[in-house]
Amino acid sequence: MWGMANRGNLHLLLVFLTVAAVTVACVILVWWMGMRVAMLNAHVVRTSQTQVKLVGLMGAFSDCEAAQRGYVLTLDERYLTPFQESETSVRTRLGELDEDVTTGHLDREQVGQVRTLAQIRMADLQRTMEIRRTEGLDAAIAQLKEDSGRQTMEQLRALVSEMARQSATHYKTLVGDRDVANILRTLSAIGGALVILLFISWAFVRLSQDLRQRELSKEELESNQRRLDGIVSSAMDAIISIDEKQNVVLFNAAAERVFLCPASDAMGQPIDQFIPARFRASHREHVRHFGETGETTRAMGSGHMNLSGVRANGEEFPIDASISKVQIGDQRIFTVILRDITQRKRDEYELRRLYAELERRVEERTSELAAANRELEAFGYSVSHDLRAPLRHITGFIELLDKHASENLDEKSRRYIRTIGESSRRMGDLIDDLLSLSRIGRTTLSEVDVDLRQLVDDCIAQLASEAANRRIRFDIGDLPHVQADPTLLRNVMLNLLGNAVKYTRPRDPAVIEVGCRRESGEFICFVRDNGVGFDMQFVDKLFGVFQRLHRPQEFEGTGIGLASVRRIIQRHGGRTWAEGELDKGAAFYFTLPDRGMEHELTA
Amino acid sequence: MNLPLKRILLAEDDPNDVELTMTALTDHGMANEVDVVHDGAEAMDYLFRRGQYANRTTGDPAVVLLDIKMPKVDGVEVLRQIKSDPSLRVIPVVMLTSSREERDLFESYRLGANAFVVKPVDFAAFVDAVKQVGAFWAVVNEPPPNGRTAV
Repeated sequence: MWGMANRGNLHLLLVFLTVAAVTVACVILVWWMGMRVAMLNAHVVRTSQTQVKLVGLMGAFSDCEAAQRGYVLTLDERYLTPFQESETSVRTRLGELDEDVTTGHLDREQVGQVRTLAQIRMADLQRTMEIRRTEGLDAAIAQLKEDSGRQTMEQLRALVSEMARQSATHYKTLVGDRDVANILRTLSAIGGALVILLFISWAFVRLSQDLRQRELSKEELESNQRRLDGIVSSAMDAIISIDEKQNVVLFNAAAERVFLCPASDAMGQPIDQFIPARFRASHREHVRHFGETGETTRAMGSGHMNLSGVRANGEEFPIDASISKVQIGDQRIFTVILRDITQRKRDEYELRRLYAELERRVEERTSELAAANRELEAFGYSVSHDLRAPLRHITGFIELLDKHASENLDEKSRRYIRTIGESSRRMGDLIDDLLSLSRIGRTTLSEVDVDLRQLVDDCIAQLASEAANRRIRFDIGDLPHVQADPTLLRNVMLNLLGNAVKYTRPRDPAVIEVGCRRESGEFICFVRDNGVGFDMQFVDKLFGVFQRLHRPQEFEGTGIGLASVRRIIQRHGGRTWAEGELDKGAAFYFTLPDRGMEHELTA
Repeated sequence: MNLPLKRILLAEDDPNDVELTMTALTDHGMANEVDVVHDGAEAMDYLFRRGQYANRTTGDPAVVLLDIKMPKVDGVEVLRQIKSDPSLRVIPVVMLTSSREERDLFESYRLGANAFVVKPVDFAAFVDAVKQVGAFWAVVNEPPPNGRTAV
């Protein structure tokens, strides 16, 4: 801003100086030319006067001659008076010529010659008149006839006429010079006037532009001011400006509300009245110090320090505040924007209280849950132990009964015994599976890096006995490393692969596919087979506990496997679902969150 | 078959289990070698020759089959006592249990159990398990020299 104004000003100054110089030059030229014209005019006048004098001199001489002739002819004394007057006139004129010599209009030498010739001629005239008076008319006429007088007169006349001619030439030159000077003066005056006119026009245009600009700026400034005033007065936060003496220069409506103090009472007063007494000195120091730093804005208070304000009624309250400064001319204005955070503090306190309460309740619930869990665990444990024992006895004694009494029993009784034995064993399996399912929920997950491919290979090896004497083709796709509990994940794969092996029993060859793909942050793995499949209308039952879609006579099983799969995958934060078609095959999907994006799919 | 060193101590509270175990062992010719106690306390008395067993003349058993869940003193406690006694600790102990709870398994191995057998519901499997355990520890395995009689 400053630089631009400076450049503009310099430009303006240069223009002004140029115009001033040209104007002064023109004025000087006009004045000087005027002087010159006046001087030349004086010369012209004097030159014309010189010519008049010369003519006058010659005229005076003629008068002298005329009077002398009259006297010589008539000897009338009356002619003496004109003669003397003319003679005086001649002398006077000669004296006048001397003046012109002094002013340089006539040549001293020429004037000297004229004087000499004039004196000779005068003396000549007087002598003739003397001769007439003393020797008579004839002697005088003889004297007149003498050529010397006439010659002198001729010389004088020639000389004067030469001088007149010279003077006339001089006159012409002077007039020419004067006219030139006059024209120059006029031109200078016109030039100067034109320059001034131009300057004035330019200045006028500039000025009107400036005025318009200023008008616009002013409007803009006013609208900005209005907008700013609007913001300041409608701001939710208190806005207070103070000058360098830390007296209030701005106090908005929010400040009035917060401090319970009308702006009129605050303006011009020290800011201290809004600060608790114990902080006043340090606050002053802080503001002063802030004024000296290069920062323009900063939050007030540092770290955990709590800021407080004081309302007009003396009530102290917590605030949040930031301070900024602007330099206006040589005045530094500090603006503090602050907010009454009483409510927030109260809310925070309430929140902390609620949080603590919640924490307490959670702890309570957790310990209740832990107790319930322990109870369940104890229950599971006793079910495991206490139910299995009598079952074992049933199976054991049935076996013994069979051994002991089978020869004495009919076929029907033997079948009863077999059925009791089978049912007991089946019940044992159910209890075992149920317990293992409940164990899934109770064991803590220990997630480590698991090579899924390795796991699948291990499971297939483990299922080898069940797959014996069958043609089964395993298509294993690229499988990643995942983060999972290895024991539980093995349970999942064993269940899914075991199912696939089991339900493809009617197929030759059986085809079992295992694959995995990464999609939006999770691994989607599947085990697909070309086995007996299932009807999609029963898909919801698949993952339920003890839910079976086949009779035990077709495919053995307790209906716990997929429930375990679902439970395990859920505990890992994944999902499970299945797709199938009766007599075509089935596909079981599960997802695992991809926790380590660095793990690449491995073949 | 007068081989006192091949004696088996069976600690089992459930008479049915006792009978089944005995049957299984009998089937494999080991019944006459089995002493039966019915709770943990009795097992301790037997082993430490206290109370009704104060005058027991038989040597220490070649193997102890210890049911975990017993009245008064449970199997794990009996195991602890056996393994912390300098002369008894050499006797192999097989834990028998209906439960597959890891808690028991870890605790038993931690205390020095030599084997852990989950009693199968299937009687045939049970017979098999008892047979293997009995045969291994009572017949195949050479028991430690009878320290008590030696001292």
